[in-house]
Amino acid sequence: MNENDDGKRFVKKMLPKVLKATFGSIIMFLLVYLVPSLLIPEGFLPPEYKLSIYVFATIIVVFLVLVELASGTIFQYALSFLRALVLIVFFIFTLGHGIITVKIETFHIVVDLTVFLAMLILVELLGMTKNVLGAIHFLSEKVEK
Amino acid sequence: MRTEEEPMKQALRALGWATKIIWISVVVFALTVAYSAMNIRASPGKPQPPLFSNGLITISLPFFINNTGFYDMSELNMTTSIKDYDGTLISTSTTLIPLIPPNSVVEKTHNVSVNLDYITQNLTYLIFNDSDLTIDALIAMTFAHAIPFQISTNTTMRWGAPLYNFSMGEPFFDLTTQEMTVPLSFENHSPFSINGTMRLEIYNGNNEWLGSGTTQVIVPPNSAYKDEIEVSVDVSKLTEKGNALLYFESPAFRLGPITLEW
Repeated sequence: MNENDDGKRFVKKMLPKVLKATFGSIIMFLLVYLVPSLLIPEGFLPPEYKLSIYVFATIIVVFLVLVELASGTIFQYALSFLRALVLIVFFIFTLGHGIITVKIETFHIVVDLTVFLAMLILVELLGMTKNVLGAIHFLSEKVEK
Repeated sequence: MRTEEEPMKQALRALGWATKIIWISVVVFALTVAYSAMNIRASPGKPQPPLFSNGLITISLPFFINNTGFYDMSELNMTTSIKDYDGTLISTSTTLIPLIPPNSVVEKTHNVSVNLDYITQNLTYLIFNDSDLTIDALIAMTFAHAIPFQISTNTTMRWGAPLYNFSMGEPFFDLTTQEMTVPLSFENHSPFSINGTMRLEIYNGNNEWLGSGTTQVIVPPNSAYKDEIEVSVDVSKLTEKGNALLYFESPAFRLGPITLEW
């Protein structure tokens, strides 16, 4: 009976999180994968960068689900911190450390995205800072309780 | 207790908002840059026929750029380099456009100049031999004052020698008139007409001057030249073999001395 109650309580607690994670991940997938795929004309991006969009969408969706499921725990901040770290690494490697080189037939194209990369890293560093502070705040509240 | 918690919560909220705002700005910037880049229209015009002046061949390549995007295109630099088969630089031409603001059209001409006097002095083999030249073209610019961009390509161009297969035939002497007749022949493989004066200085085996002769040369593109130069020589100094120095002067280029043996 007691175990049954615990199970019900767990389901009651987790169900909104699962629903929120599901809807959130669907919306995010549409925003970060489907919309860019539809907006970017065919042939504008080389195949390896199309794959990068897919990887980016996967990172965002997977971490969104994990963070949502871990909400209300310290893991929420840890996972958010990890997501920011993963995204920084992803941006650095995808954007070729800021310099993108593409060869189309006899044309050699070089785009220097250092400023853009710096902006992306800055945002993620800001997110990491926020998560560290959030974790400290969460733990202090827990100790007080 | 509450008073200590509040600033932390506010700081976290502020950080959250700052992150969101910067994220949105980055995404909007990326999207508008991509949209603007896709809306740039650039097209080459009709190349003008080559112009010859002061030993320079100039090919004019008109082009236009229509910036219908949201951002400035700055420091646009168009560079063309021409190199010979082993990478020796023959010519570099650069066209600079400091700024192309949004919603503006720029029409400009990129002039590619080749100094024929430089070729005759430093790359003489190109006067007598056909070759493949490499043309490197580079367009560099900064988009939205933040994103440097460059596109480069290279192609080869056949170089037609103006005095291809130049040869001096066996000279013959007329002892009565004391004249040496030297047969000369070549093919003009260049796209321009050869119109100038050819001068031949004859020296004997002891490097003593025997005489000189000139002839007017007019050879249209892709045509062969075959003629003779008559040179009055000092028969007393004549030896079995010797050298001839060839000079060529035309409005397009000057050549010489080229040493030939007879």
